[in-house]
Amino acid sequence: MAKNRLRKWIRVIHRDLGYLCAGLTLVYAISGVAVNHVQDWNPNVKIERFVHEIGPAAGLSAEEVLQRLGQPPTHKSTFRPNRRTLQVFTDGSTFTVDLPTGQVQQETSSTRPLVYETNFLHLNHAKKAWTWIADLFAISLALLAITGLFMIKGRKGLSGRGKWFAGAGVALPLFFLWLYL
Amino acid sequence: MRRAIILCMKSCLSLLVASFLFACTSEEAPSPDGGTPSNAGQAAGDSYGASLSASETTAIHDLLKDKESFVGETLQVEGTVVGVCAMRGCWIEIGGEDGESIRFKVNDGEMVFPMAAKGSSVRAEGVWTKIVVPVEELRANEAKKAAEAGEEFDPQSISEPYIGWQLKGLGAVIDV
Repeated sequence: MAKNRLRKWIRVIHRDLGYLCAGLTLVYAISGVAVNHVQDWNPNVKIERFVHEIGPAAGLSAEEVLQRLGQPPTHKSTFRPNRRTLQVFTDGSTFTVDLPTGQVQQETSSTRPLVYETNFLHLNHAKKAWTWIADLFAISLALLAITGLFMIKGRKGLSGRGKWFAGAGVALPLFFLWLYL
Repeated sequence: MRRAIILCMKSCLSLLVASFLFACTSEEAPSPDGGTPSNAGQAAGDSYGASLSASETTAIHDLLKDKESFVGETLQVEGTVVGVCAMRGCWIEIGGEDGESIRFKVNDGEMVFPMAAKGSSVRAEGVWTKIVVPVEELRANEAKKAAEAGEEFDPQSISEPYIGWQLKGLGAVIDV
């Protein structure tokens, strides 16, 4: 009787914590995949490059360059890395002008919707109170794992086929630790 | 015993649910494109890493004119952010008044500079560092790259070690 009550509570905890953690798990899952491939891409920012021709631009001011490009004339700053190159920085874009030829390379950066926000939470850039939420989420995941093991009894429970799945889940990280560490 | 376990489980569940529901939301504003300033939103600019402590700044021109003599020194430089690491935000290129620039490099993830920092004024502090990569290492790296790209590589094409200079980052303030 008491054993059944215990199992009932295990199921209640697993069910309700599962509901509570569904959204958070998706956040961490999306960001997890994104940052897993950080060698291959910037998971936060999308960078696009365009080439424009504005004709010879020697002697032009940054405002005039932007005007020729059809951009608003306001800019953050400029930089001259050498005599033939002018860099104009605006909000969201960098224009690199080859002054003699007038070829302009534009580089724009914008945040990746959804992935940026999930990374922001996953990597705890928010800090402060989010740290506690993230800790609670981690504890909840541990509880979900433990209660998940004991939810069902019998053939489909831990003593049945469950032990093979649970064993595989433990063996996988151990195998890769043995392989790579 | 089992009653105690059940009671404990009930308490845990209630505590977790309550904690999730009542924890405050963060007050720290996000950097617009993934950077991690430690004081975002303050008028003085976004701070990264340790607080700046040097009382005077070294001109980038002076630093590059006499690179060797500054090696190992903790320096503060001032300039414009003219480049940002597009992959991880792990370095910024700081441009001086006369078109020269230096790289301010931090360990991956220690500070993450946003792409939006480009064009902003920056004050940065770090240890001036000389990096020497021996010929053998360069050849091995290039051979590996060539093999990955399916290209041929002639080891004799590299005959001198690579020498690089950078400010190993301790902290920075980028004006917003």
